[in-house]
Amino acid sequence: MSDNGLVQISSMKKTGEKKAGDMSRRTFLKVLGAAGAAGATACADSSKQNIFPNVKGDNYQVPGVATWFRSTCLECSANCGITVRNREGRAVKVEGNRENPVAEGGLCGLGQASLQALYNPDRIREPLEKVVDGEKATFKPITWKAAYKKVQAALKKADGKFAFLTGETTGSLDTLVTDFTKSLNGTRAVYDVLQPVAEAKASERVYGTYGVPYYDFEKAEVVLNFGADFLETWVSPVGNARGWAKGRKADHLSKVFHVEPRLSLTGANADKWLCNKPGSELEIALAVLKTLHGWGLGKNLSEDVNGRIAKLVQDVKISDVAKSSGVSEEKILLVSKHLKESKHSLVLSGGAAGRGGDALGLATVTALLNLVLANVGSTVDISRMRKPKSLIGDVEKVLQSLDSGDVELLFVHGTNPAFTLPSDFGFSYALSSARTKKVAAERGDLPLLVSFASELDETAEQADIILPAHHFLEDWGDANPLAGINSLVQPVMTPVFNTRSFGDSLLTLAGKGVSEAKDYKSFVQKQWEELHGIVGSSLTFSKWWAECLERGGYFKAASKPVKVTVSKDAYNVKPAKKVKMTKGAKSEALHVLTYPSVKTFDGRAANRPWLQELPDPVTKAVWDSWAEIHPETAKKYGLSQGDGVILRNYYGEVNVPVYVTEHVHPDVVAVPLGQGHSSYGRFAKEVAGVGNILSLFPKSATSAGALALSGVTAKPVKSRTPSILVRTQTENSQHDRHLARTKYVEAKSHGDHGHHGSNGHHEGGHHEVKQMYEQREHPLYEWGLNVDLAACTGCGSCVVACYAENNIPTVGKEVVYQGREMSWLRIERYFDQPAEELKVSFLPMMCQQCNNAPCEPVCPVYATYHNEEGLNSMVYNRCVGTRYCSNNCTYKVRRFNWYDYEFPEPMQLQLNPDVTKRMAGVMEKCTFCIQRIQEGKNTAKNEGRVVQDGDIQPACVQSCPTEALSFGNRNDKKSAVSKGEHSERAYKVLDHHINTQPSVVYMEDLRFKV
Amino acid sequence: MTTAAAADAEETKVDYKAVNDIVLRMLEPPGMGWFLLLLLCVGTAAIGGLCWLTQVMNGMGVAGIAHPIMWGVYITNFVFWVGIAHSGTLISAVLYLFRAKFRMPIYRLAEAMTVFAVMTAGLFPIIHIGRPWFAYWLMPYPNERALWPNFRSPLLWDVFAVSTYFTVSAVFFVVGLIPDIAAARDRATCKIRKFVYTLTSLGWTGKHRNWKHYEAAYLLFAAFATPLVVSVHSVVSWDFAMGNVPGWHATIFPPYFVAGAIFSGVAMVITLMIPIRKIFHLEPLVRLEHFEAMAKLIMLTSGIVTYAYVTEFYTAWWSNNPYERYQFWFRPFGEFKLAFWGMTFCNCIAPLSLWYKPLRTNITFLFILSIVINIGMWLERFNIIFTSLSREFLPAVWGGYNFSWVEFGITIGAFGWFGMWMTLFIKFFPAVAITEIKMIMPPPVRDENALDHH
Repeated sequence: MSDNGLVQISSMKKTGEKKAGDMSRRTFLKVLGAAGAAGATACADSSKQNIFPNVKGDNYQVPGVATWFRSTCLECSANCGITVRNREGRAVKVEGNRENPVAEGGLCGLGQASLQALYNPDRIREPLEKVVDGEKATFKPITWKAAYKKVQAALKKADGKFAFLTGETTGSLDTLVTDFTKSLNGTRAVYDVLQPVAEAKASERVYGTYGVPYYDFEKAEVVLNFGADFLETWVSPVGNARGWAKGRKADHLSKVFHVEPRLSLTGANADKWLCNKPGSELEIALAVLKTLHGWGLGKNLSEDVNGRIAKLVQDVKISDVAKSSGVSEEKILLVSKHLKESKHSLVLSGGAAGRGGDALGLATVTALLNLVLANVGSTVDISRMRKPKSLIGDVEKVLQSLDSGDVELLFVHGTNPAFTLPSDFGFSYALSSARTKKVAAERGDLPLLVSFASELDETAEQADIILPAHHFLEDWGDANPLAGINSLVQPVMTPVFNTRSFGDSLLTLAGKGVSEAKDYKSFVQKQWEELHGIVGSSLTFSKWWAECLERGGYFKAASKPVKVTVSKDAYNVKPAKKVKMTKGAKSEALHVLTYPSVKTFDGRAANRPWLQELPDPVTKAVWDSWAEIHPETAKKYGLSQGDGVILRNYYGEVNVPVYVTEHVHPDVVAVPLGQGHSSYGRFAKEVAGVGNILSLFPKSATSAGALALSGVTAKPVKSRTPSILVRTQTENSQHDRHLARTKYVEAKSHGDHGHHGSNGHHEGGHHEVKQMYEQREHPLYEWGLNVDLAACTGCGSCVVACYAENNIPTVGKEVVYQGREMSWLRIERYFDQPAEELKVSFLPMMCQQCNNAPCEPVCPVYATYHNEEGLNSMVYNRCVGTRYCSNNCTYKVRRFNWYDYEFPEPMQLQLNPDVTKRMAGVMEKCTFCIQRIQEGKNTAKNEGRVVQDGDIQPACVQSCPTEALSFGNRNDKKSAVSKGEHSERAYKVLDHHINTQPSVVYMEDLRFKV
Repeated sequence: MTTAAAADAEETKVDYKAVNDIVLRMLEPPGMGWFLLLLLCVGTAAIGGLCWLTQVMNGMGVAGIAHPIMWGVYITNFVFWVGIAHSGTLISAVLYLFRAKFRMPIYRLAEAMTVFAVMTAGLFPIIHIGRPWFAYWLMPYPNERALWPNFRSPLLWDVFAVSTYFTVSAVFFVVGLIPDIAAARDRATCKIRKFVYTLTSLGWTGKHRNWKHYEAAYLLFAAFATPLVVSVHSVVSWDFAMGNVPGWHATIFPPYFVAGAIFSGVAMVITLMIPIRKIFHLEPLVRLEHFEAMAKLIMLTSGIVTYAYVTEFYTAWWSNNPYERYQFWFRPFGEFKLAFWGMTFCNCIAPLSLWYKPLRTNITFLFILSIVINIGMWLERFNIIFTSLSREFLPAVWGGYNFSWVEFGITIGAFGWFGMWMTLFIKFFPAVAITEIKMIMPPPVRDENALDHH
């Protein structure tokens, strides 16, 4: 493979490095030429390397033909497999890798938006050194050589007084960092606020092994969840969602009970959301344990275990629990009954609600519940564990050492403690203290903090030297998130800026002390040589390596049965305790819950405009942070929608817009995590004003070695200035229009699928309306899209995919407020109360490609017309912008270009060359990714066949974590879409009233009737 | 010649000469006031022009209009001005055919108003579209790409309807002017004026032959223009009625729009006529009875419009269509109810006062009421366009929008533009039809002075 033409990215480097944004047509052609000239010159610079196998196509660039590379997403520690589309030397799209078992081809919004980190206009473009001139400190560019020299000098002087702070890492990088630190006798700490440490520790107590087990959502018939946002950010959200959706689609409808004081996206997708009083999760868990144990479950466990469980729950009184938690006795019994009756169930805890002061206790009881329910070995796989290393104690130790002068040199990579660590921990204070000590020791000229950040975040801003690392799409590497998954990271394009691989930098700094490897790539390869030995492949290493690169890694379903050993600590569960608010706690204060969301995660996503503009799945808010407050509470504090609220306690304050919602417990104020960056680029700073919610959290807000995300209290005070929360949808009810329909399935044990009741009328399901006019004919293809609402979680991954694929500009808060967001695909979210129970519906709404399209006849210039493949085509060049089509569009999915939108340099490099960038004054919309359809047709034509089912996947379909979307040819009776169309759940939105005859078929959501 | 009309003429003691004197006096060199008015109009129009320039340079975004209300103030203005344009042809052509004599002193002004209002209305579709430099694509012209406009689109019908209407009313207007221009020519002292009038009067000599052809042509154009009165606003109404938007999709729209247009047009004639009559002392020609006749026309059309409003609600209820029903619940009780109740007051309730004769013959009251009606009719279009679009099928995309200063500037600019033409017109051409007034007057007794006047 390697000898038939390599992509010599080194020859392209110059152009990319100099000024990537100024790529003129001429330069562009030069790059093309250079890329074609394979095997140009050998380079001494270790960062210039060859790219090896492509997944698809030949190993050289053909202008106009995309090349695909497999890699691994390192945005969060889930490490989903990715496939990156490269056009003319630039990565233009990130998609899931079907062959990687972590997410099986789905990808979340953050993973897709990794491109916007790669091409972020505020990325650090070269090594920087801080120059202090009096009061002012500025960063000045410095050469790599000089930077290394300075850092090496500091390393020499540090002599053990060295600490390394990283984000959660696995695989070769983890080995390298550990070896590096060890070689310097330094200390290493890992910090990532999202890591489920309590669950990992509880596993150690109950199952005998530290780590978060692999949860099989597909198998679970009943899921009881204490706050874990497993469809959003928790552990491996895309993989979880995929499993969950499979469980929903299976003949037994998996039932999810979600206990959380606020309605999260996961709660919205649950069959029953139990809104509890904050902090009462442990009590409820104990009550469920008591009930189940009382019913005789867990009898097969050892006597010792049984006895201890009985002792643990003996003081629990269910009626008291019901009173104090707000979850009625009836509901506790109901949940227990369902758990008992199911063959396989699953109990989870985590997320923000599961991370109060009693996180470890809750996680322990959760694990005990799984043990009692005999889930270990079925839905809870303890042979495949994720082992988070992020322990806040380690971080605190480093900070203490900094403060006391025991650390004189701190390396930071992949974590932003200045933002994600509450200020009460004193990261900045420790730094300045260390700095003072250094100056006193006359070593002030040496760097104290060396950052490898690729973006100037709050931590990097305090650094003395920044050695900007490659983005993971430019770098080599690997990941080993759990046993059996070894995935590879490979550069998919030439670096955008003058950055260096983090691994290379470490190897350079360490000299020969750490590894023999000449660069990080060979370091990774060396690790893989070992794996090659273990695997026992018949192939030679280089062939096996190439194969692994093509596949994206080496995957093996490891299932070594692991023995469960319950430690005595497991029964040492203390009743719920409040986070100690050492100072300033007021009785009038509200319980603060801060949750990571698909929009921001812990704040790392705040610099991606796609995610800032992605409406929050539940609130539909964009470009902001907000405080979810119950109407009663809001009334009490004189707050209303449109106000700003200052949440204040002794430790800090934030000023966020109020979002009044009934879907939060009256005692709680819930604020998403991750906004309020004072640094981290222009997009993150757009939302700087709200302040970092973590500033309210005291140092004592920890549990099980991780930061607690709920439990602290703060007093809400109405802000003097009004603050408008911009939301893309303000009407919450469907007004009985049966748009997003739900079918209720009766509560019956598994196997039975009693089809009873549907809140939607069945009109319009399979109606044959007499048509007045001759109908359209679609001789060969009739493209159609099916949306299975039972699988759709509303996460918005498809929306991000659409932005990425179709060059849709982000417009910012102001313009969204005017109603001018450009998204071609939106997810409508409705709150309805058909019975007592709240029903949250998500309805992805894209162009319906109507066969009786109301937009078509009204266009005076034929800019939109019906093509013979059933698509409602849009000719941008012909559009004069009367906007009549949008007025007449029943589904309001057309978007108008109110302005010419700019893509700040170098973000324009991400634009898909197959899709035009529309000018001001024209209308635009979804056409099922017509460029992909065309590509699929061309491929089929070249191969002398017609398009097969599955050949073409529009961007939204590809990215969907739960495979809720499917696309294909309706003329082909065997295609997935044709089959789905005849499902008894199938219906078309509004068709029965307007006779639009959409090509998009929805399938009713399935809900289990509780 | 009826005896009543003769008696009228007797009463006010206006003879042929006096008519010429009164009317042509209007063309005398203007005073300071006229120049200030013109400056005001041109200035306002220029502000509108600058606003439009801003919009063309920066994109439609500078206007407040936004998803889901893709048509807003501009289309409201378009329909408003087309509506204004309506009564001119009605008064000049339809009433001519019906031999309604009260039209005589007012029709010239109404016709001028028509032409200028269409000229104003015609700007709005161009202002409103996203790429105005391609507006000509809406015209069916042969081109190398063999691209034709979409004849199914109501917007295209609009293009034809409005351009036809403009052409015909302009021709009708110019033809009617010929004898009067000739009269002005005969009196003109300024050389340039004389030259222009000589050209525009097309060699009119006042001979029997001239009159014969003139009468025939006038009748022909009147007959030609009459169906356009009905068609143009029907077509405009189809812009909405052909759409499937709840609140638009109704068969009552064409008659409802035509009645509304006459309603607003007559009101506008009153608004314009009252100050002109006062300034130029036209009281002997434009008498109270003419205003009363127009007031009666307002009473009639207000009744039709009110009936149409009620019918819309009834149909919404009767159809049992949830979207339509919601829309008509939303109009009086929803977020934009002020527009609805404002419209109802202005168009349905306020005109009821005209049933009381002393009010209907009170010039001041009529002037105020005519402005109220104009506001009401603007609100009606606003309700139809804005309110309907704000609440369509999917609740997720319900919304509204805030007007921007650009939209405001252009709206005001349109009045300036219209006013500019009107101001110029009254000083350059006879704003009251000399010939037609004379037709309803007793012919003068032949004496030595008689031949001086036409």
